[in-house]
Amino acid sequence: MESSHNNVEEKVKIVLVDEFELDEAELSPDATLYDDLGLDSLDSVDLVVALEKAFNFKISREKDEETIRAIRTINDIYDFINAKQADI
Amino acid sequence: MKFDSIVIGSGLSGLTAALILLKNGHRVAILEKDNKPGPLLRRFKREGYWCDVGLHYTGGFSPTSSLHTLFRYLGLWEQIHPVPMDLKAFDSILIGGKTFEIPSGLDSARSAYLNFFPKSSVAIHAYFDFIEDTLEKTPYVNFDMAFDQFSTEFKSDETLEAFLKKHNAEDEMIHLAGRHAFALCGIEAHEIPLYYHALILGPFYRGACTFNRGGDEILDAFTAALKSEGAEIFCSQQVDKIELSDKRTFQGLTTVDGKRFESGSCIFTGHPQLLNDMLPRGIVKPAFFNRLKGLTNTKAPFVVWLKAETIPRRLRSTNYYRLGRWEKKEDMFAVMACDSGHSDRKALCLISLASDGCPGKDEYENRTSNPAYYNCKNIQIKKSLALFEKMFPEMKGEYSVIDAATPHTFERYTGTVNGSAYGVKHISAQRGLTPIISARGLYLSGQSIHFPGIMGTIISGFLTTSMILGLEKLWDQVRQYQ
Ligand SMILES: Cc1cc2nc3c(=O)[nH]c(=O)nc-3n(C[C@H](O)[C@H](O)[C@H](O)COP(=O)(O)OP(=O)(O)OC[C@H]3O[C@@H](n4cnc5c(N)ncnc54)[C@H](O)[C@@H]3O)c2cc1C
Repeated sequence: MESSHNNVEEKVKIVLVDEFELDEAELSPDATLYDDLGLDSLDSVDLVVALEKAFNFKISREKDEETIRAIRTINDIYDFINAKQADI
Repeated sequence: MKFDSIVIGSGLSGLTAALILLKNGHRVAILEKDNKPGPLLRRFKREGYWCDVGLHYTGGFSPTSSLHTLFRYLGLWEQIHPVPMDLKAFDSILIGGKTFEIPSGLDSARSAYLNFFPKSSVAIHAYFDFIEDTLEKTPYVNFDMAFDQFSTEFKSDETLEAFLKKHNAEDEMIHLAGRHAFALCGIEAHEIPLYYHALILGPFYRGACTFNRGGDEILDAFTAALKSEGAEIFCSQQVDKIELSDKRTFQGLTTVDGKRFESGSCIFTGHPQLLNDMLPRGIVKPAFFNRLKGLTNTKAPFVVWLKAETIPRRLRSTNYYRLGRWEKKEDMFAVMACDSGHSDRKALCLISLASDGCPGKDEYENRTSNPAYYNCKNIQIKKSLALFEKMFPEMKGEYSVIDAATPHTFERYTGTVNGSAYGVKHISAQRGLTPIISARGLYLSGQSIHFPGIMGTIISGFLTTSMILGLEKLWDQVRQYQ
């Protein structure tokens, strides 16, 4: 379990660093995407697409929309991915 | 030069967007890389015959349709004269040695399907019920809807094939509905979301029409209105680079000729993958560029134009399709209706659309001077003519080829990547682009963003503009013309 969680964190960080040019040192779990890391709402769809690709699943417009909209911190992303993977 | 808004591209989506912005008091510039507006809509003349390119027939122009409302709002309705296609058969489809004729009118189309596929009656009723429901409940297809009903859009990703199978449709019925739609939007039954299929096919079933002067009729109506509203149209101006501020806000752009334009907002209507070379790296995140790169496109068309002194009566206002099987990687092939009943002589037009996995633009090599290109082109022309003569044996020896266009030609004229007929594929497996992207003030519109086809791109122009002007405001304006 532990290792798969770390794996998720690792992969999310790679997405944020490679695809959004963020500084890895700033990616603490409670860092907020918008205020701390300077992403904005315009990035959210690109983030969803990048996560879909990295984790090879589809984020549904019907089912996941609410959860996606509620994501604020990096930890929220980890939680979302873990829940999504448990679902599959 | 400074403007309120710049529209890049003068296809139907760009022209619609520009006219709406002008009507709302914007100072608008349209930049088009071709030397005249609307390279895909415009007809050309060869050996005394008019050749249609990107508009052969369309749905959505009946007097009760949303385009009627939109065109009245735009002041264009009086300028165009839709001519209904054969009411008993706007399309005639060869399938398994038989001919299936699709009549205009949803009820008639439903009956035709029921007569042809009696064993699939449950699926056919479900299919047409869904289409009627979609047309009824989609706001921009039905301006009767109140603005706040906009959120009722269909979100299910169920494909046409899955839906029809669920209702026990025969394979042949799925094949026919699927490949007919493939001809009209470039996506197969197993990939196309049902609601999307309904939005594209529904207006055709309701009533298909054509225009005596083809795309020129629409184009001339738009350009006249744009000029009288004060639009500045710059042709032979290919946009090279788009400038964004550090805060990712649109500032201006430069053309290949080095001209600079500034504006508060900008709508890009070309193929979105072209943005890959136009947007500044370092400001736009790699995620967006990767997203663009990952998009898959519809296949490219191959078109042959023929001249003939006389044209079979049955071709006057019915299109003839040979659908081909996608499992066998066969092309879809069509002979478009050719009305010779008015004074202008019209060329016959044969269109093939490659299936997935068929040779695309690459087969035609990179440059027109390459002998392999001509080789490939000639082989494809012969293939088209053989199919044509099989469908119309009476035409043997009665025609000659006046021109042909390869995927490469389409890429050159419209910039659409690999010459793809309908731009980016709208499929459940890929999250499509929306008018709003990760740069403020820069919007997308056109067939790759909303829907392909004449109706789809007009609606796309409307929807994107509503992001700039405010949906509620625009909605109210247009609804006054109901
Ligand atoms: C052979 C063929 C037949 C078709 N037949 C039909 C039909 O019968 N009925 C139907 O409904 N639909 C038909 N279609 C589809 C329909 O024509 C298109 O969906 C529609 O015209 C696309 O409009 P658009 O505005 O999205 O794009 P386009 O018309 O491609 O407009 C984009 C414009 O942007 C310009 N541009 C691109 N990049 C730049 C740049 N960097 N700087 C400046 N300008 C730029 C291009 O030159 C182009 O003019 C057909 C398509 C093809 C290819």
